[in-house]
Amino acid sequence: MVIAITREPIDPYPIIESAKKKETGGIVTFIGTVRDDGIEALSLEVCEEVALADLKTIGAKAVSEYHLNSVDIVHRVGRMNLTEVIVVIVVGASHREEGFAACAWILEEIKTYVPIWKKDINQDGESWHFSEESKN
Amino acid sequence: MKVTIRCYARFRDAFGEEQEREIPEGSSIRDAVLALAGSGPDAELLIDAEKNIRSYVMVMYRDSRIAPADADTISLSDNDLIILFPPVSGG
Repeated sequence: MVIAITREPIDPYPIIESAKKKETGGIVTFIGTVRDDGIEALSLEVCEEVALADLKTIGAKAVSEYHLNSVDIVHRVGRMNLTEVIVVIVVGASHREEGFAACAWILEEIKTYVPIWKKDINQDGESWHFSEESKN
Repeated sequence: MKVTIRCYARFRDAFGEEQEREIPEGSSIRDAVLALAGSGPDAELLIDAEKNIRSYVMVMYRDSRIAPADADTISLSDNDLIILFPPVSGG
């Protein structure tokens, strides 16, 4: 299980390749990228100590509850340009149902409470993503 | 007693990265957050009209998340650290 926070660009393909196992029948991958919402770039801040512990907890819980063969989560922080990879989630499961469900669950967990924050950067300045719903 | 409050992201922009506050012995987490928020224009980011910590504020204390509603029930000690997270937006 690879659980990491990095400031460097993420190449998803070696992570996907490493998820291939004899007992795995499906590898479900989510790749989050920087979308053009009228921005020039995105900057992500993290409380790394807490976020890394949270990601490890989420990964272990996903393996246990969805009976997965593997989970990898790599989240990038720092400044990113349009189309660059923000997060990669790779789930290896025996069957597709568990794989799809686990991948979606992991992403929702990250969006709910892992301390990472996005800030838009554009010509007019910078602005935090800030929702009082505590989930965006 | 002295407590330290560390803020991230939008809260850091409003209140500084790390602030110390002198508060009376026996004060709660809520008291410390009120002391940080003060009465300036950004106070409403952390505190509602009833002087309670807003429900979206994530409070970390001694490696645990504390629900804002419980912040009044936990008494602080000298040199304690409180961490405040705004709503997250990773993924």
